[in-house]
Amino acid sequence: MSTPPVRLEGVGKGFVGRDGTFLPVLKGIDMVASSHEFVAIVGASGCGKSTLLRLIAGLDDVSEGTIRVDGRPIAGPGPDRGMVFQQSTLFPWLTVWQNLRFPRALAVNADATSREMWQYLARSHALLDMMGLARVRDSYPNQLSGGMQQRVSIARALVANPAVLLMDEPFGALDAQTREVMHDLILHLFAAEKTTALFVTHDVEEAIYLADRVIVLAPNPGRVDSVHAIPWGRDRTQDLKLDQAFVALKGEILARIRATAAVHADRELMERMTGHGRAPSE
Amino acid sequence: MGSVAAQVHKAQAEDGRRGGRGSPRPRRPRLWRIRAPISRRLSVILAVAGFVLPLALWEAASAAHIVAQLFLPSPADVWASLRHWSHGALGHDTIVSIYRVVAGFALGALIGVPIGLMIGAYRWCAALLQPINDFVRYMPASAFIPLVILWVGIGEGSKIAIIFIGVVFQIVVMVADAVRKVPDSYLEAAYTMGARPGEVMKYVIWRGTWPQIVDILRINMGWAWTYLVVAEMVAADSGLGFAILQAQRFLDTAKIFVGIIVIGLIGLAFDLFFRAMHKRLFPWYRP
Ligand SMILES: Nc1ncnc2c1ncn2[C@@H]1O[C@H](COP(=O)(O)OP(=O)(O)OP(=O)(O)O)[C@@H](O)[C@H]1O
Ligand SMILES: [Mg+2]
Repeated sequence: MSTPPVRLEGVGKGFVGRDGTFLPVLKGIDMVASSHEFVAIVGASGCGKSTLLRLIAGLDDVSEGTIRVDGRPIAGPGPDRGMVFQQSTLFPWLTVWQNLRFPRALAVNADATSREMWQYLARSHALLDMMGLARVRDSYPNQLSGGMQQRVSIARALVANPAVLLMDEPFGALDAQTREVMHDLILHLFAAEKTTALFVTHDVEEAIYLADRVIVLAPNPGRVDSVHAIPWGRDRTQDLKLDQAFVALKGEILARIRATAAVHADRELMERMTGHGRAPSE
Repeated sequence: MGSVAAQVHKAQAEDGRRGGRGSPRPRRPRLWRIRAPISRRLSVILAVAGFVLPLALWEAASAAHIVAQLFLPSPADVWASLRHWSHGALGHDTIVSIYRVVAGFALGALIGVPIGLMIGAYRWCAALLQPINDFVRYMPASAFIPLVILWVGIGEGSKIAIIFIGVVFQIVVMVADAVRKVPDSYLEAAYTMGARPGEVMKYVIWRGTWPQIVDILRINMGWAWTYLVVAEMVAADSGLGFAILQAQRFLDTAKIFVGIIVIGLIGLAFDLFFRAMHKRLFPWYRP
């Protein structure tokens, strides 16, 4: 009970550039997400949010540090961590229902008992209903709107009942109205689900509205800048966004992002200017 | 005068445009709008016209005796030659040729598709096989005839082998490219659901490239037919390609025409079959 679903200790990640130099993208990330917690991660573009999520998903390997899920260090991707990407990754050759049932065919679920299988099926149906997908269950993904596709993606990631759901700007490509609907759907969904969620976004309002905690990453290399606890319970409505405290919190977080991003951008600009300034005089 | 006419014309055009926006049917079909759909009727009419027009030109040219009979027989001559041949060996020639093409093609697909999948999926396979495949791919299939005779002999195998050589290397490259175009994100999604590499291969790469593979096979079936005449240069005594070569020796131009046309028709039938299958099997597919 006491082991948190996700624990990151001193996690660092870098890529080897084309010229052979090592470019650090993340450095010294310590982070814990407790059971049933919804954590949003925000930060300037390019600060390593997607990289962080990919590390936790096991799609990339850490350069240093450890990531534990349910107490065990992760080794590669696994069904204990569901992932939703910004672009739909639904398999276009399967219908909505077949996409939901896809994990069922895999060997990891082969030794499921008939009781588990039955639960699995029940879960698929429940998610289909909860996400408002019953009407489109036999449609192919490319017959659906972007919002519908992301609903299916979230349902598919949840159907295996993962310990953690990782979402990388899942609503980044949606229009404002659809996003609002999705937000309320997510709140409703996570009131019922016992999944821990890590949610990457560049929309601070979205982050506050959905999360129990908002983590701001600073860029270059990516590290935790600040952590903001969100004081409201889960039953939130759109009105909350107009609340004084909400607006103040939004301003606070935006200021942090701006501050960290400005340092980064200015440094880059300075380097470029000094570089140019020196060249002609040589 | 001219400018007045031009103005009237311009005004009419503008009227038409204004009227056209709300009206259910535009005054003219917008044939020149890129990718504009056309009606089924028009599409059939145009397809038939595409055959009938050259036929009419051909008839006109031969009726006017612009070209000597020896070089350009009239459609009637060709028809007569077809009737004559069909009383003779045409049926047998056709079946023999279809057998050779299908056998060579099927062998090429059976070997080329798995190798293409391997090259597309595994970098080490690509490193090992891609360079040599690209190297052999540019060699003309006809240049292999002497070797094939030496290795396979002059039996049925040699004709099938030539067609096989003609298509297999193309199938390999095209399938490998199709596999490489499966988005990484599909593979990653499968991995995060707990799929193992073998399962990703089977459920994502294989399933995801099926439509492209059927398309690749369709295209290569066409190429297989183009190798038929080359293949039947090898000590054949029957087949459409053999008949064409034979007709050339006897300056029977009409029969050459018949042979070419029959090959074209069979090719067209195969193409339509593959297209119909594609449509049936992959209703979800948007290129
Ligand atoms: N495979 C890779 N090879 C080299 N550099 C990479 C690779 N993946 C990411 N990076 C670099 O790591 C940095 C962080 O990238 P990442 O995509 O994690 O940022 P992000 O915070 O998700 O940005 P955004 O908000 O734009 O999505 C970027 O500077 C990027 O260029
Ligand atoms: Mg990102």
